[in-house]
Amino acid sequence: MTEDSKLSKDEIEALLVFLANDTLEGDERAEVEAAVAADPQLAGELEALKAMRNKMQAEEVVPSPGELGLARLLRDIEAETAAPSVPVAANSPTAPGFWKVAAVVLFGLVVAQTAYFGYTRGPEMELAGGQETSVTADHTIRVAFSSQATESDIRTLLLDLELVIVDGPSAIGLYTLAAIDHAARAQALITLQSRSDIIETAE
Amino acid sequence: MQNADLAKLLGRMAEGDRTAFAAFYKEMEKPVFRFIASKLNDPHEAADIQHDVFMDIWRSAGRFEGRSTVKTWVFGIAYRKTMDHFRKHKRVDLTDEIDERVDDSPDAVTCLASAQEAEHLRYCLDQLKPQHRSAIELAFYEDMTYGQIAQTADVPEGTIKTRVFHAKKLLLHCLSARMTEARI
Repeated sequence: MTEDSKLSKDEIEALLVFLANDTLEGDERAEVEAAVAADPQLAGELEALKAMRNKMQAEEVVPSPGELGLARLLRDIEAETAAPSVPVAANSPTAPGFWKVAAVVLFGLVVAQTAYFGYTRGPEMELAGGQETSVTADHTIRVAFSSQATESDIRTLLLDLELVIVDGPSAIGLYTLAAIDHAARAQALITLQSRSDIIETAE
Repeated sequence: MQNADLAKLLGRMAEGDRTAFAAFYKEMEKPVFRFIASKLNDPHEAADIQHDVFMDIWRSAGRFEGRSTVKTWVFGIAYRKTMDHFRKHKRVDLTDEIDERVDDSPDAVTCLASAQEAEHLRYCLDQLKPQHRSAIELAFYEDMTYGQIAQTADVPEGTIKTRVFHAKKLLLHCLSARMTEARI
C-alpha cells in the first residue's frame, strides 16, 4: 500500500473479490490494482479468486423445478385470483386462520382448566382409564409453538408425550407444559426440541 | 435479458399478465434456484422456497419501484426467504462472528490449484456460514457489485465487505489445506 492509499489493507483484500468478478470501478479499482501490482501475495490470491469464479460459473446448474414449478405457480395464482378479493378484518370469523387461532386458544384454555382442577384436587389425579398419576409444577417445560403449527399438530404431539398446557400464552407467546414425572419430562424435552416444525423453543 | 426488459415484464405482471409471469420465471428460475439450493442440500425444500419467492414476485410486482435492478430485487426476496428458512428449521449460526484463528496467509499457488478442483471448492463453500456464502455466490455466480449484494441482503455495504473479507480468507485457507492433504 502506498502512503496516499485511501483504502485499508483489509478493504483491499475484500475488494479483491470484486476485482476478480470485474465489477470494481473508478478510484477503488485503481487502488486495488496498484496494491495487487505491488504485492505478489495479493496477485496470487486474485488469480485463485478468478479461478474460483470461473469454476463456479462453469458448474452445471442443479436441476430446477422448471415447467413443473411454473405449472404449480400458475395453479396457485389461479386459485388466488378465484378467491374473494374483498379484504377481511383480521378478527373476523371469516378471516383466514381465525378458526385455527381460536381453536388453539380454546384448546389451551380447556387443557389449562383441566390441569388446574388437577392441581386443586391435590397431587394425585385420575386419568380416564382409571390409572392414578400426578401432574406437578415441578415437571414443567416452557415452549413457544411455531407459527406454522396447526392445532391438530400441537394436540397430537402433546397427547403422544402425555403433556398438558398448564399456563400461557405469556406476553411473548410462551406456554408452560407439565409432564407426569421427571423422567417423562426429560424424554418429552428431547422430543420437543427435535420437532422444529411444531416447536420454536423448548426448555 | 436486460434489466429494462425484466422491469417491463414486472409492469405487465402487475396488471395480471400471466404470459409475462411465465417469461419472467423462465428467465430467472435457474439462477434463483441455484442460489437457494446451494445452501440447503435438499432440492424439495429449495423448490418450496423458490415457489414462495415467485408467488411473492407475482403479488408484489406492482411495488417494484426501480430503485435497484430487478435481479437485485428478486435475489433480495430469495435471500430473505432462505435465511428465514434457516432461522426456522436449521440449527445454524447466522451471526457475523468469525473464527479469528485463521490469520496467516495461505500459499496462493496451492489455492489456485485447489480452486480449479470442483470437489474442493464445493467442500470449502459448504464450510461457510449461509450469509457469508451468499455474499461470495452473488459475487461469483451473479457478478454483483458489493453495493448490489448489500441491497440484496439489506445490510450496509461495510457489512458485505466484512463478510467477503472473512469468507475469502476462510475459503483460501480451506482450499490450501485441502490441496495439501490431497498431496500427502
